[in-house]
Amino acid sequence: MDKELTGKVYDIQGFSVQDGPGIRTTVFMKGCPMRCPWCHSPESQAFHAQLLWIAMKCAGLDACTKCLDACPRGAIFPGKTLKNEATRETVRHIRIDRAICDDCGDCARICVRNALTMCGTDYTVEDLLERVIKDKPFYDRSGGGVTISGGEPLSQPEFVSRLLERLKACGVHTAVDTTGYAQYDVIRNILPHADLFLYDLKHMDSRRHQTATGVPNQLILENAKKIAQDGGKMQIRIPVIPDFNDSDESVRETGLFCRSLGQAVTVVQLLPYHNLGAMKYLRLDDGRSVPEAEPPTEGKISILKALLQDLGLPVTVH
Amino acid sequence: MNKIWPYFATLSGPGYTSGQLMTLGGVTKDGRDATNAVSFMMLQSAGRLVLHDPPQSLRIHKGTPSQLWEAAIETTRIAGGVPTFENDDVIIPALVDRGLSLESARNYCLIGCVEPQGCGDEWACPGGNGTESFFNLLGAFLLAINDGRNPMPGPDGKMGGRVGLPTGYLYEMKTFDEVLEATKRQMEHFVHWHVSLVNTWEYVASRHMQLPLLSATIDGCMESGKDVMNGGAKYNSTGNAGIAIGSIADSLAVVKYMVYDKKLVGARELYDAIMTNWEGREDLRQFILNQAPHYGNDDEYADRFAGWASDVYGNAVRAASGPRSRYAAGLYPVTAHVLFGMMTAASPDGRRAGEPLSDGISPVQQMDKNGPTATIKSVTAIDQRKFSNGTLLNMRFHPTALRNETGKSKLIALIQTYFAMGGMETQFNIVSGDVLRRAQEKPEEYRDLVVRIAGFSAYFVELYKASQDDIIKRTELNL
Repeated sequence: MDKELTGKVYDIQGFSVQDGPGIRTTVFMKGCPMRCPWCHSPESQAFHAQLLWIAMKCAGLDACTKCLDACPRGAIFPGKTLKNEATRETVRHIRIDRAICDDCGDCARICVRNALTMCGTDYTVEDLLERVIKDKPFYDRSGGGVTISGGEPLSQPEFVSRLLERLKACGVHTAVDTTGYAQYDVIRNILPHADLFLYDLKHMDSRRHQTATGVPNQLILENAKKIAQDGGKMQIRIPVIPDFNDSDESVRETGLFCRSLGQAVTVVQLLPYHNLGAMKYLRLDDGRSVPEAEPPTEGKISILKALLQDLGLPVTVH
Repeated sequence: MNKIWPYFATLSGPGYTSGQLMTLGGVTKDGRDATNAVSFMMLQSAGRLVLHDPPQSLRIHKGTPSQLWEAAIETTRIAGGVPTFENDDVIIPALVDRGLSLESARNYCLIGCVEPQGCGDEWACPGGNGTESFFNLLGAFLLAINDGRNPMPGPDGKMGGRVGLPTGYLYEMKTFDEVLEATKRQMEHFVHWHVSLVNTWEYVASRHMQLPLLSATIDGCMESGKDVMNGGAKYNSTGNAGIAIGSIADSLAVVKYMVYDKKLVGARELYDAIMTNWEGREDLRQFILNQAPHYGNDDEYADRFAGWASDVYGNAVRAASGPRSRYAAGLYPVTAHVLFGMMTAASPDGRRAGEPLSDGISPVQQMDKNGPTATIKSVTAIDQRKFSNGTLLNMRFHPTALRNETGKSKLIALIQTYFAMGGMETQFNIVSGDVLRRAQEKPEEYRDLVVRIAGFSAYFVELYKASQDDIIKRTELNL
């Protein structure tokens, strides 16, 4: 019935235990309107399928030159000679000229080692449903379900709305992990099928929000209020980013906003910045620099947690 | 408590263990929950002392109180691997099938590592006196596609003659059904061979190695006036454990997929590649590892062969009998999968000669790529109730998974779901800072080590050194 409608997904993760209640499967939709410099999934940002290259899986040019031959645009060249971190062998690597590469995927199709892979797969609603429904016994036992994350799931509104509707029809608890940056019509449309929103709040100052993420925050704050009015439930997520929003004032302001949303907010979660996603920037190698900041200390996080708790908010730390 | 082990037993079961298991929890003879204060004291002591020996098994049933679950998970978090979790709802019916009365089955305990037996009234002899009888399932498959000859040269470097049935060569088999048929015949042949060896040992032992002191403690011996070795116990069985269920499932799936279904490689070409230990065929091997179906990913294509192979092996074992009793089948390796791997030639699943075989009923190392829920779904393709000699599923978690009450309750739900789907046993290895440092040193041995931290999951060895160091720090903070 939805044969033509497809969504672009960049990852599906089973046994997700941080993305809502119980044991969940998280579906990561590809594409995001924001460009947060601390993003730990840079491959989630572009809306099209992208070529990734994982150096440690590559056999090197002395063993295999298939990708050089397969590339129709001649975008793959011999690159640096480096030590493979896994095998400790010195390997002559490839170099992908991202200006020439058009992410056609021909090289990934012939790479037997999966060193070259395409990030972004088109699913129909029914195919994706079949995939995520497999873990229903775990959802049922643990009070879990399916979380649609991203990227920004609301940027693929039609697909996500259909998927949520189908999940609910199958008796699965649903959560939507969102930046909140979408037209409210989109949110109103999915509200009956979304049991929970995992709702990001990054900064209360719109100018600073825009400087960091590329978009202002008014729409996001308005949407949060409307979700609360229309009876939606939200777990508010605050990524704690050094020198951006980790000051007491910034967190207090965000906390006060959360409090104004009343019963709609089930919990406020602090997500301390981490740099575990750094190697993903190298796989994508699209000219952006790897984010480098010291993760906040545990002491710092517990101060912020206490501060929010003093506002009467239930708080957890991820 | 300790004992002297034969040389090969030290290879197949290394590490210091008395093998004297302590069984906790479960139900009483009349089916009520048997949890008591001592159950908690034992679990808590193992946690406080970070004690791995004597090992502890916790019997779980539908009515196990949540406090006992929580105490067990807390001990797991601290001690790792302690206790093992045993499912009464599968084991008790399995023991009744084996001939125990319901009362005796409810009173079972674990011996060795995961082998259930009637407590004080059964001589289960799970394969002997520390020299367990283990069956290399993958070995039988390799002989099936090599006309009954072992493709691995002996210690003298020479190839041996035919030791199995003349089932022909892979490249002579026109259909995949012929491969299955040859595998089945070879497995049944070697089960019979195993049984006659064990029976010979049992016969000799019953004449020369009676155990009068032990017999005095087992129900039935006084009444019958016979030693346990002569069948004096009230209940009797003989165990036999199959090894490498994951490896044989993957090998069958790969042969079907590559040769017969997708025709990506000729039977002769694949045969030659494994007989020459993949020499010059690294691309083919990598294709198989990365692109062919593998057991452990909730993919029926491969999982059904774990069901098929365990059925063939289990049925043959259960049909066998010895001087004292019928046989009982198990699927657990201790560490014989490493020892047997050293003696097993390359296999179609991409494994090189000499590499370890798969462990217990777990998927082949690094081949389960969809997380623990998919692994559990795959594992339940095996009808574990038929394996009353025990099964073993190892799973590995990062300690942050058990950091708070929510994490613990999710792990409990994971085990409960596994048990509701017919799982018999599981145990958790908790990743330690030392393990991670070893993974930094020898990344090639730890390519499957996934760390899940703060909703982020990644293969540890693929991370930057700095991120790895950060994770080691977090790991140790959580212990």
